[in-house]
Amino acid sequence: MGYKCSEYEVLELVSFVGKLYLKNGAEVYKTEEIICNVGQHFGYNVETFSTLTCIVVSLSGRDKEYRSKVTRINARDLNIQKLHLVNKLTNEIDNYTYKDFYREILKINDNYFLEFHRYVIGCIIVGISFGIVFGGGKPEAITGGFGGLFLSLATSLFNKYNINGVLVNIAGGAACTTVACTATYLGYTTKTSIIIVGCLMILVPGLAFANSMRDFIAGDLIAGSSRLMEVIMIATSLSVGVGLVAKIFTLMGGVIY
Amino acid sequence: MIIQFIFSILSVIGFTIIFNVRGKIAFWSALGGGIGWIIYLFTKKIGFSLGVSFFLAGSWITFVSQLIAIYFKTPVTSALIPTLTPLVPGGGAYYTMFYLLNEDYDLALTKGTETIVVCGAIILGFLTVSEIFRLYLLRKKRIEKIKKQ
Repeated sequence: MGYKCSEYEVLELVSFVGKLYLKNGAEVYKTEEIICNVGQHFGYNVETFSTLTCIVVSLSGRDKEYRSKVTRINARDLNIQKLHLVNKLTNEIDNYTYKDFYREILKINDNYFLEFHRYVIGCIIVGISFGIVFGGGKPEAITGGFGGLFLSLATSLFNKYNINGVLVNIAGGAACTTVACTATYLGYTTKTSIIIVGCLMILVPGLAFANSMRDFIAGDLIAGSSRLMEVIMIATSLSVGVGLVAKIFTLMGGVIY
Repeated sequence: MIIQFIFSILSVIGFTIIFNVRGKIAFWSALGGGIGWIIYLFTKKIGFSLGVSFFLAGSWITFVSQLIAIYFKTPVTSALIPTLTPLVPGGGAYYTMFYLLNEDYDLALTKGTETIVVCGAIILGFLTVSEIFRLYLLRKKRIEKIKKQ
């Protein structure tokens, strides 16, 4: 390596990589591993402590003084394509100089978003297929598709205005329950529960569940238990949303099968 | 059962679209997820208990996603999340809530216990297979180190 980068530059790069990786749904222990690897590649001894909401990186400089940087993470979304690309980039780190590497990372950060139409199509597919997988027929599948459509519209509308996660999940649960209850009221289907469960699978915290298990297994108890709290919070807010609409529907005289 | 297989593959494809997994990884994880759901259905049909069938399905899914991760050089998460999400007991949690709403506490307790058992079974299957893989990778690394010296 001809070009020696300063402590400041490495700290900036390393915390940016960590933030990008953690924000898009990686496990905490994996993030720490990647931060240490990138730092060591640029010739510094880097140690880090991360939780779900903040990353602390400390680095021992050449002049025998310690530098550190705290990065807060206030937004979280799911984008596995970005995870895959960052992982690929850090595996091939030997081919890049410092500046190229930073440019590539910035490029990943600014591109590869999940388009709106893809999200809607995905939700509709999940709604339709779970209507049949859980033992329904054609009417359940069609109603499930409409449930997925309304759920995706509701959640993306709420996400657009940065409303917090609990309210988004309540809105999503309420939207799909409304569709299922309306279909039952019109006499189109008799398996309301199957439709509701099928649409709810879109919002079920699969990522948080998987990541909390993986963090627990890797020995990171703090990250694992905070992810577990996220699972419980999402599940509670979903059931509040569903329960609200279901209770109103039964009070109005409808029956949920 | 064939219809179930096709639609469980479709559901995993839906999740890969939502979570933005692309290309070959999405295809292979969809196939693996469909087979996982069939394993659960089949073992339930021949009379295994709920815990055992979810244990088998969970370990199969972990196995597939570890293989995909090694083959396509991607983090395990990218294959694991879309395949695992259909197995998460959302139905059990929903029914628990539903019976609680109707003040039917006996049924709610039964469903709640069932949900916890399913969660535990998936975690156990996941743990076994990923531990085996971790030991295998450690061994491979050690052998490479010895060869280098």
